[in-house]
Amino acid sequence: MTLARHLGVIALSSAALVATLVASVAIGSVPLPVGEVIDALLGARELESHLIVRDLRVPRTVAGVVAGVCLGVSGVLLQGATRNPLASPTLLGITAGAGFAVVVAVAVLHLPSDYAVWAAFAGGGAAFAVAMLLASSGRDGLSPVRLALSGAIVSVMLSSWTTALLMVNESTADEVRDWLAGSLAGRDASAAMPLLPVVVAGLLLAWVLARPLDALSLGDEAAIGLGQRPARVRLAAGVTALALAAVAVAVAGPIAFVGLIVPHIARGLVGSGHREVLATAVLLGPALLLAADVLGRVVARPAEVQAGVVTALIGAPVLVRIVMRRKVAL
Amino acid sequence: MTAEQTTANATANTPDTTAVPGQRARTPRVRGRLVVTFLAALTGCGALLALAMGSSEIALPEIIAATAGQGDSGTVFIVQQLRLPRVLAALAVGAALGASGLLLQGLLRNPMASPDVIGVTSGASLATVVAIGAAVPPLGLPVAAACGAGIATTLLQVINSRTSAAGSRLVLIGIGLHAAASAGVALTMARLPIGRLGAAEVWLAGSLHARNWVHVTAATIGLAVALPAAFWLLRRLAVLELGDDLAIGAGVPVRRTRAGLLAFSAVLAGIAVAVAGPIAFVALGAPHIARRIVGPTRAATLTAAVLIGAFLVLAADVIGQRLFAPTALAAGVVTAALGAPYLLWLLHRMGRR
Repeated sequence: MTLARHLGVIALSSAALVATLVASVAIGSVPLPVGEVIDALLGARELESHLIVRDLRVPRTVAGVVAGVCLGVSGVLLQGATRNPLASPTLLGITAGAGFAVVVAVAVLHLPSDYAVWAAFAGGGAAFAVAMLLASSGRDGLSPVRLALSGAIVSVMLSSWTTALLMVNESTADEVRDWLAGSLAGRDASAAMPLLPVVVAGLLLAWVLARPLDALSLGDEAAIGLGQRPARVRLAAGVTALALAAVAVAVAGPIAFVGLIVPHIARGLVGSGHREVLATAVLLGPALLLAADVLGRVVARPAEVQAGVVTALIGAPVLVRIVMRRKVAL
Repeated sequence: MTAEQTTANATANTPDTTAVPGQRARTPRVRGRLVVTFLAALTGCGALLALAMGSSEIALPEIIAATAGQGDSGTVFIVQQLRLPRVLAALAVGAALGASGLLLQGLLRNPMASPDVIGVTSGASLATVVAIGAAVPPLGLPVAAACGAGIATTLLQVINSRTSAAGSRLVLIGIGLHAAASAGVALTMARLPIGRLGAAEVWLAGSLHARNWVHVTAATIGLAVALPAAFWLLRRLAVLELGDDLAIGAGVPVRRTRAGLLAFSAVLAGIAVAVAGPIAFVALGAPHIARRIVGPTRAATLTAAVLIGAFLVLAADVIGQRLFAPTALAAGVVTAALGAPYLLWLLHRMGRR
């Protein structure tokens, strides 16, 4: 792949991201004239429409960008570390584990919502570990489909427990329910701000890990020959991916399939080099999530469909296609 | 005819249908009969206990009298109009799920294939929510649910034949289907008018709350058609399990048998979904337990799966009502919470083999 092509892809992805950013601010369940949206962005606060833009649409756009970046990069790292095209926060149980832990922390233990990200990290990590253990317990070791299946079943279990918890704690159910469906609505941008250092650190680590992951993709022996330590690289990539996914869940709820689709699109555009894939995923992740969110605002007017629902509708067929491809070994 | 009678008839049929061609050792058949009798007794006792338990305790003799319409009018009302339909609905739903799971697992040759894991139940849910939105009368819901289940199963079967997807791959595709259908349900719910939203929400929880005789009648009619068909198909399934070539050699029309298994598995899942909403893991667990105690597929296995399914749903409903009283848990939530770890254990065991 030539440099020109990479730059072209990056430019196009940036354009897509900008377009979705604009759409996310301009389009909503309440139609607003463009002039008022621009006024609101420039600081006007007189009309109701100005408040809608500044207090509702801008924060949810920020939340969408943070969550989208985290999910996209997390997916790239997981797929690289496990060398499994099905690996993603959703299919490894991380999203469901984080969701369950946040519900326990917020709805049952009544911890303040600052703890949500820690709960998400712990829960996601535990679910990930269970899925890995379960997948590697088999006689023929870790196969891509087996790992995804274990993760999916861990997810099924955790989400059914989450439902049961919500039924018992009906009073707290309402505040959590929208978040659980993966909604960006009503997100407070200030809640995402303290997490920004984690996101930046995660992105930097991902960048550093890109070359070692490239080596890993040649196989463990070749990677050792190139001076890498596969186990260490895997652990670092796994923990980074976990942290990023936890941030995404804490900000936007358990949003499915973004971490699965984005790396595939990115690889299709720029090939398999991890740096190029990461750079593309950072742009495409938020673009996809924001597009899903905007779509969710318009399909059921005046009601809204959560972004997580839209990404599931887009992502499930992608999952089926990847599984059906013969390249994926059993 | 009530669901109990259907089950009883199915039990009565067992000795004839076990007469599979060829010589069978005597012991498994006797064992099968013993197991079925024991399970029938267990389910019967469970049903009586469920009738006796509730917000007001009623003694067993009174319950039995009230079922026949004798005793004071309050008790008769509670038993005949509130508890009896609920218990019968639970039994019917469980029976349908057990049978549906056994047929589907046999058809797809996959122990993890059950309507709720591979998206058949969510397909039925999607169809039913759409039907609720279109204001279809209650008796039309089972038809909608069966259609949804049928479409989902057909889709899976098409994918299955195109990729020759072996075990786990198929389950994973089913999980994708499940995700898509669940998202479809959420999308439809967002577009429902407020008046119908409540009905759809209650139904989606997989609850047996406030089931009345209409539900019981609908389920019984469905079971009266589908269960005999399931028993009939099962004889062919047993041949099919030997492999396609042998089955063709034995004169079994493979394609038509597959289509029949698919259709009736969908109809049975649809009946269950239409009456009680999505109730998870019963269709997965009941056939497993049945195969473990009865042995490989034959009529006694199906009877056992039907009885175990009925017992599991009944037990889940009773547990859900009592565990966190006064907050009642839907039966579907109880089966999901308890059944999911079982699925994990199953995956673990599949890997060991």
